[in-house]
Amino acid sequence: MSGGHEHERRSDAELVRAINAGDRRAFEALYHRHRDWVASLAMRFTGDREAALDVLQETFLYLVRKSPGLELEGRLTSLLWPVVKHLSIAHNRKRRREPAVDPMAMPVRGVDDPPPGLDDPREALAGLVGGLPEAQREVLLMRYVDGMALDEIAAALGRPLGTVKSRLHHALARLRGDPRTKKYFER
Amino acid sequence: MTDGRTQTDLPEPNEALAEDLRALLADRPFVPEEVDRAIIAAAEPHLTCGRRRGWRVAGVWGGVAAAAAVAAVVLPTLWVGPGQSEPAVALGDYAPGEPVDVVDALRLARALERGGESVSITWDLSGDGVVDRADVDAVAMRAVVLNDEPEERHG
Repeated sequence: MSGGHEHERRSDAELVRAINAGDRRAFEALYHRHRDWVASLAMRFTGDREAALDVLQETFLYLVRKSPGLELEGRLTSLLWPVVKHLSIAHNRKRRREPAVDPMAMPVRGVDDPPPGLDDPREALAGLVGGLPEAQREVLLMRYVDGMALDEIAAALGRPLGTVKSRLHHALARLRGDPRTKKYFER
Repeated sequence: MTDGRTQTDLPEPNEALAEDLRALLADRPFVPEEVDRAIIAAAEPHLTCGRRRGWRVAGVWGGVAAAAAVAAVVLPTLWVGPGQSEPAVALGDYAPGEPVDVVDALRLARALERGGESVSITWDLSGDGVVDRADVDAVAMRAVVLNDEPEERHG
């Protein structure tokens, strides 16, 4: 199932150009390079394994349908991120469930759960991130979970770079200002 | 996480933040190899389109074959057995003229494999009064013909 060593060394943009020319191996290489990330992101948005696999299929079929004529300047993640998000939201709607009010929601503590302690920063992190406004949380997760650069995030969201920086600034300030999560800013 | 494009006026967090966030969101579905093959097979007709003009007639049947191959490899892995949850996405009704794609063919095949009770008669594209494998092929063929012209279903 390998796309071959030659393809594995090529950039996303080079593979996309090869896909435009009908290169099946290039598609395989691109698929295997981004499959786990797409599946993980779809799982984050849908919260459902089967829906995530459906979104995985539809995301790559969407991509290949765009060829020939698909143009890519940077990494594929900024192109795929909004596709995965929109397909996931569409899936949630098709399931006749309330669309995920907040598709980036973190695990939420129950009202009877004890408050996160100072000795468990990961628990505290989940609570704090879960309490961030969606727009801030979205940018935070794109940056530190998906590993996207700020300009890639801006491209994926269709927002100005300044807006992305501002959202990330507020999210980080919230985490840094809380004694339970300030360790994430210590060197 | 310091690539020169990512600085804010706040200090960058250390690597532990990314590690812990990833750990909190580590619920990644396992993707069976059969699903890999199915997706690549479903992509094949579109790649053929890019490689070769004037493919339409052969491409239609190639698409049907690809859809059949997709169904053959995906059905066993996506089979919903007793005690397991129903698939997340219901097939719904087919409206004449509505665009379809290979995923719809897969979904119909999966619904039929589960017994077909929930399948609407609107999917009787072959017009023989029943919804069966012939209709899966009909959906696949229609998907390939439609996909010969650019469409924006998910844009």
